[in-house]
Amino acid sequence: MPYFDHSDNDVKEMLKYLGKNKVEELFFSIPQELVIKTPPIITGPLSEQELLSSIEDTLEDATTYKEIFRGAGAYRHFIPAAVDEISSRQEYYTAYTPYQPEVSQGSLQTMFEYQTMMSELTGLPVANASMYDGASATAEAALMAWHFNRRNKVIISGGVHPEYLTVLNTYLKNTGIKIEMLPLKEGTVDLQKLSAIDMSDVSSVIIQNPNFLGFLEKMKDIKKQSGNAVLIYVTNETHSLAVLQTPAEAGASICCGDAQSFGQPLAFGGPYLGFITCSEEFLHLLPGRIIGATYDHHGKRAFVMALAAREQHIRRERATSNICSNHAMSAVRAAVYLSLLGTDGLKSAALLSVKRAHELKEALSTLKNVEFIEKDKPFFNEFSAKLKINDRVFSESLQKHSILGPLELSRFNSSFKNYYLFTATEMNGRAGTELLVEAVKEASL
Amino acid sequence: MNPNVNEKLIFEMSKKGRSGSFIPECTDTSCIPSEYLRDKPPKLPSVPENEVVRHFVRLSMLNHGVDKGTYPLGSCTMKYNPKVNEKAARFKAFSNLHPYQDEDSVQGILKILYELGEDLQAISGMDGITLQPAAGAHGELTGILMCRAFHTSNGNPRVKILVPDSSHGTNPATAAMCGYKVQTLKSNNSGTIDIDTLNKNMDEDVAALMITNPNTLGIFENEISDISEIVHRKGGLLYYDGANMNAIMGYMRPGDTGFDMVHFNLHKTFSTPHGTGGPGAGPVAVKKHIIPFLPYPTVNSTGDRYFFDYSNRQTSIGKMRAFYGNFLVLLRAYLYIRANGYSGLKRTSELAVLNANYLKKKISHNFTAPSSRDTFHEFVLSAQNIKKETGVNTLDISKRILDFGIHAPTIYFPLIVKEALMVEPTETETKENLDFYAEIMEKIIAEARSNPEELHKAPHKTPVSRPDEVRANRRPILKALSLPEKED
Amino acid sequence: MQNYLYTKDHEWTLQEGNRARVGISDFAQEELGDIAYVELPEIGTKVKQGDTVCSIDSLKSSSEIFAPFTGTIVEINEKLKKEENCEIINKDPLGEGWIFVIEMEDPNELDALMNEEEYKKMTEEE
Repeated sequence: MPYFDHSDNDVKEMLKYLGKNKVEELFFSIPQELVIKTPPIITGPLSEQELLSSIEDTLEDATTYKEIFRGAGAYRHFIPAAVDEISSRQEYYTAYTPYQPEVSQGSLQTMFEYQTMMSELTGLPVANASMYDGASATAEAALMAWHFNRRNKVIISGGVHPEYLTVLNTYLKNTGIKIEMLPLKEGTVDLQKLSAIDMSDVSSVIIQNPNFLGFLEKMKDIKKQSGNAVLIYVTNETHSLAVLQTPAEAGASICCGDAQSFGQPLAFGGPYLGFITCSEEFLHLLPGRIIGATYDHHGKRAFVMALAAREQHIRRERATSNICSNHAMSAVRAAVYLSLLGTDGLKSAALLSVKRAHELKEALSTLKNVEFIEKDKPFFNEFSAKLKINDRVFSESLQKHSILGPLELSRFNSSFKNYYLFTATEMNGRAGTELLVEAVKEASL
Repeated sequence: MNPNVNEKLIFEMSKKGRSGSFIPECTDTSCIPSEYLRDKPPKLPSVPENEVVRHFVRLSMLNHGVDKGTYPLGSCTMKYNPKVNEKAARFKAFSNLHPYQDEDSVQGILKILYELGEDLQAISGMDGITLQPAAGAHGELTGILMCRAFHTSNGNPRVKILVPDSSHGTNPATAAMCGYKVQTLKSNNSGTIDIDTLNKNMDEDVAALMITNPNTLGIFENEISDISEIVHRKGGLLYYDGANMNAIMGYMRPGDTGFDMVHFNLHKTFSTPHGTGGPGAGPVAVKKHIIPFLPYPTVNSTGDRYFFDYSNRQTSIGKMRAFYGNFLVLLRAYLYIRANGYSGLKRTSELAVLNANYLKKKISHNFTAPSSRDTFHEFVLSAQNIKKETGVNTLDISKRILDFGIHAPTIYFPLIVKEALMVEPTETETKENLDFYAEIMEKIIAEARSNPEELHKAPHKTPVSRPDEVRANRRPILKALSLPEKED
Repeated sequence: MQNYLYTKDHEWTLQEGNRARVGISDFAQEELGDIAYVELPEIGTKVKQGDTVCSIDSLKSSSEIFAPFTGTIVEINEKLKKEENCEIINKDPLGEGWIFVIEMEDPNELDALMNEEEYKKMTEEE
């Protein structure tokens, strides 16, 4: 057994102390007919050397790209070296949920600082210590709203990430809550259609901003048309929070989504960082851990998990959620990331991403085989376009230059054939942009 | 660091113009019409890199972790996190993969996911698996949603879920999220499921029985074959909460003992770091009849090519999250399983059970035991006797343990045991560590008799003493109150 | 002396004409520990005897409060909306720490409740 073993003598002594001859005797309460007769076959044991070399072999079958123009809820932003350094500290990653605050002040204060930052970014006063990911956080936010007003209808914008919508459907399937889709019009929320909806039985209106196609939504106008339904602001490009009107300014009372952009690597989709922030009236419905400040018996500032009576281990079947372990380590990374960048650094990363995306769009607009969806609507760091290209030629030339190109939207909806979602961040240089534009041009039909 | 002085909040260290340089400066907002912009910039800290690093390093040092000392938190399986897994998880090649890359460009990754799935199925004796769930509770939710989809496909979703009174709080919370009523089964005197009670409550309204085996008292439900027969005879499903899987690897497979679904806690049994509360991973393995309901996509193979399989889309419960799963967590578990092989996993359970039994015998004479039955990888004792005799309760004892560089046990759980202490040493503690733990316990019990006041005030040597939790709840302060204004 | 009547769920009621004031017993507050949150019902809510009216959280527990009678909630203790005031339930459960007032449809339901002595006997047996 790697990593750890007892000496034979220790085992013997321990067994003797227990009055047993063999370790197997400790398992005698498993009925004999249930005990495994033929061990199943799995690979191993491997030595550390073999393990590493096997994983390095496997990695040869995984392509990483120099330039990534793909986002759609997973963004490659620059991650300062100190983020990896801090999150590699065993003091953080080998600890668990801070059940004993006296020996967990490090985790607790870090999460308290993270909550403060998320509250500051979204403008909403309450933040929890993390959720799993943006999609499940959105589903849990809809459940919060439902527990709040017990109305049985959710309006969700067609501009919300399609996978988030699928997850919402999965979570809400057995609650009796009806999900009504509000299709986009010309790339953004159809305000007229929204205004025609009778809001008296609507629990929440869920809007993603910037939306899945990259466009900015007129959040204040949406709020006006949402009556007294709970406005849930979803974002999965949290860099936008540094620049755009805050969810609170827009009138949202819950903000949720994925803060992967705050220092989490792409990592093939996880772990990321689900988050929820909300106004005070939702405090006792907020799922997950919440860290609060208090004093210890000597009057020293101390942090604890607060309002635990909301949670499953106390409230059991009456809890609004079953969440227990969350993505605390991702929150630690986000706290370090945001502390390092500060306001100016985060704004720079956000605005550079915006700039790169606009430069890319500008460059593409000179091509005849590119047709933008809504040429003039404001967008953040993503935009969509219809490309008239030979797919094979396009992908070969991208491959040649180690570029991960834009995302084909037909992946989510077959009626979007030939439509692509382009993404840029501060990581995309001018040279990469030129190569991508060249590839689109070369592949022209 | 002066132990009497607080580590400042990062915001309290902030001064204008102190930020580091990580990204080329950009202040150009001209691409976005002004009505879309926020009124004021957010007040994030402005602190130079070296001070940020020192701040978080100092904070981290206030934590107790597995790498620092024994962490026998019952039900959480706080075992050693192998460093080779950390190294691999930080390979740049893994961090830079986009989830929407074409399958052809990530064959090696899909291979890892596929093989991990195969391994977990082999270990549990099941036929299909999803790797999507991000935690054990998320896995439970996936499982019970599938249970509901299964019954619905047979014409009736049924109305309730049975759980024993010793169950984890996540079980009833999960059932409620899936629209089920929860019925709690009273355990018998030996702490296991009472067959008569089960028989009385098991009818065709019951969708599933959720249990852990061994249960939360560490006792094996040895009547599991009867339990399975009773549940299945009425058309119910049997759900295995894998929180206690560390006890039985190599000896028993849930799939061979009648379970229809199993969730794993990779951060417990398979050594992925607990990360101060996640991310973990909670894959769910199922028997053939549940496969149609698995979240899509699953990972499949044609033999020489790996791919995402969407073929059950029509019957599936849908998706539990965006993308496919917590890949970097799954990777670590994959490596752990291969480093151990089946023989290593079996040895893991053997030593986990040996350690728990050894420690139990060493300390149990001080307490009362809720059951006389043999226990496996963890055990529960009650300090009710100490409380009656000295006034010192479980909380006091667990706080005093912290003074000796050891983490406290899980306390006041399971709910059916008064003044409960739930201890799970795991396999990765030496005999010396266990002897030390026992020695500490003797000392603390002696103190309870000689100087109970000291215990009420414990701990004494930790970075803070007992925080005022009443205040934290009655006057909740959930963020830094006044942030320094950013000067422009 | 005021005539407190008790339910088996450790709630007290005090009749005020066709209305009754409701709170939790001293025994209950002692068992629950420091109360930190009360999820109050809305005024005008109609309830049937035995329905869950609201819930009450201490640091380590959460309990439901059941309607002792069928009727309508006509008053709630506004003070309890603030977490910091919840200590009045611990300090003065039978007075300042009342939770809501219910207008009874059938005051005969009062007859089924326990008087102080009977309730005391019940808690001693628990």
